[in-house]
Amino acid sequence: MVFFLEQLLNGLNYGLLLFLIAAGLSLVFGVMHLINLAHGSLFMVGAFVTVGVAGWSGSFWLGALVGVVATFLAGLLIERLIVRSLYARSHLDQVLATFGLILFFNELLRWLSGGTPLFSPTPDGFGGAIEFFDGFFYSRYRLAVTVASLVVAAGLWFVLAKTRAGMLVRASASDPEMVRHIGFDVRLVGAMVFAAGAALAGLAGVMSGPLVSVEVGMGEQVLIIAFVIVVVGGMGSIQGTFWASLAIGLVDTLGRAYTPVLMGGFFEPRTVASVAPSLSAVLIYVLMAAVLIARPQGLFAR
Amino acid sequence: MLLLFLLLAVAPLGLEAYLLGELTRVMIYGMAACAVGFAIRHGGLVSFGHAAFFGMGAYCVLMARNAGYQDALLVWPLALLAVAVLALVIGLLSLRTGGVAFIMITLGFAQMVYFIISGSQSLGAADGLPLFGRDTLAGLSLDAIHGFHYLVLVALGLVLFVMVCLSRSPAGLALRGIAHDERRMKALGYAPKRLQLAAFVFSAVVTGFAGVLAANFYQFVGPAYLHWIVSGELLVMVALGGIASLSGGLFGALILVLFEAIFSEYTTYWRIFLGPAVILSVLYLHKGVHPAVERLLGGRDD
Repeated sequence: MVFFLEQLLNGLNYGLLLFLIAAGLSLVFGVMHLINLAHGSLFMVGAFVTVGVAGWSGSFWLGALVGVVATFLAGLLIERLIVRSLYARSHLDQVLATFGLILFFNELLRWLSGGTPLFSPTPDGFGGAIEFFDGFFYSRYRLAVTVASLVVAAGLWFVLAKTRAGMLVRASASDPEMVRHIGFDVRLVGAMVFAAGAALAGLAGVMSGPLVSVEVGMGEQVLIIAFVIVVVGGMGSIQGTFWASLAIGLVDTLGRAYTPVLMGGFFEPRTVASVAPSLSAVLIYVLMAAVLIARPQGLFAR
Repeated sequence: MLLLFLLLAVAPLGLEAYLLGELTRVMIYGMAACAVGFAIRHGGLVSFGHAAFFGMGAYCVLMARNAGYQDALLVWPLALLAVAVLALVIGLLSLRTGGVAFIMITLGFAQMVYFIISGSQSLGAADGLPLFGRDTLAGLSLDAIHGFHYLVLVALGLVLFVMVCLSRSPAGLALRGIAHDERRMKALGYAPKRLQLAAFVFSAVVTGFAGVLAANFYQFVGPAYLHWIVSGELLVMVALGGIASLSGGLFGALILVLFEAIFSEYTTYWRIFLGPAVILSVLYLHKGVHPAVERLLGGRDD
């Protein structure tokens, strides 16, 4: 029971972090119809900048702040220099140019970091575990990340659903021509959405730093999973992205925890040890296949 | 085009083994890139998952070797059959949607294949396994690079010939129409999905063949063949060589290998230059390098 609760919370934590990444991807696609492979690179940049600045200054919080601001600025810069010319291009051109960005960022950070994985310290005051009830301990930092991600997700919902800026974003997604004719700068909306998405991915990278090893290639792992989420949830649907993120986070985490246990009932321990890891890594793709068979447009597509 | 083939044919007479090997490599990756380009031009299918087929071909050689089979006449057709089955399954699922989702889904499924195969102990897991000598062709040894170079050259010529025939066939022309305007072709009475699936499987089989050759070339099989970056590099080759021509992928492969050869002289982080080069060529060199070169040489291309 305690094991299950712990895995459940881990799954929620992972799913919410994934949402922060997938949300930007989904919004950028929804508003600008752009497929951005370099979105995962921004996640990676966020994590690296935080580790770098935290190591240099000794303060995780300063690192986190610089990490988020840096990814926001990187997003603005990338949008201005490269992505803006891609909106009117084919998806193939978008894929190629943003793939070029991945190559650049990966190699840059490999060069700067020397290619070895870095480890981010847990911020002061969030080390150790707290006791929920008798015998159930949970990592304080993971809990904080879960809560913070929930708050950010709620904030995103609020901005999109309740504010004028959010209304402008939604309007730009459904009819950019009309928005332009009313007198708004659609290009500015696009730039802001792109940079905000970049900052969200950067924030996810910042918070993931102490949970995983910070290394080159971490961006593409989450990028591919974010793609699976967007496909499962339905292209351009932010609500679908949210529920799909939670589903993928839970399926992946619980799958990894319980596949060996379930298989142990049927197979020899040696078979389990060799097959279970790759089987559980495959679960989310099986889920994607199932969704494609049942509802190819995604679970929440309009 | 003919000029390039002539060069490749006389190359073994003058070049030392290392440089000849580089040319063989160009032909192998060029074959895969031509296949990727074929699916884009005929069917409008931008696949970001062809690493799965490339790797599947390579791993089939390893599996056959594990089972004690080493002759190309038996092993290679079986390998291509296996790739075709894999492509049929992935294609059937991925084609349930189109456009951007297709890119994401093929990437997702390729990643799934990566996890399954790289988790398999008998296939060398994350480290891969050496092959100890190339496959034999009806008992003849292919271990000398000269003989292997000519075999690859013949194979490439054959594949390109088949592609020319296919692209001029009624089905090929219909596929070209589908790439242009799927809805109109449907209205004309064609079955786009079925034709697209056929094009996808054909493209995958050719890529798998390139994977078979690559495994024999390097005499090593490892997860690097399956890595998503292979899919990206194949697309880069297509774009650099020019999407419009049948043999663009071959030129793209040549450009990429030359690029690597030149810049890796200066730094091991040569991809830091490749990324911006790809971005610039997408933004400013819309039709690829190959048409420009062809114009310079005064050659014609199909």
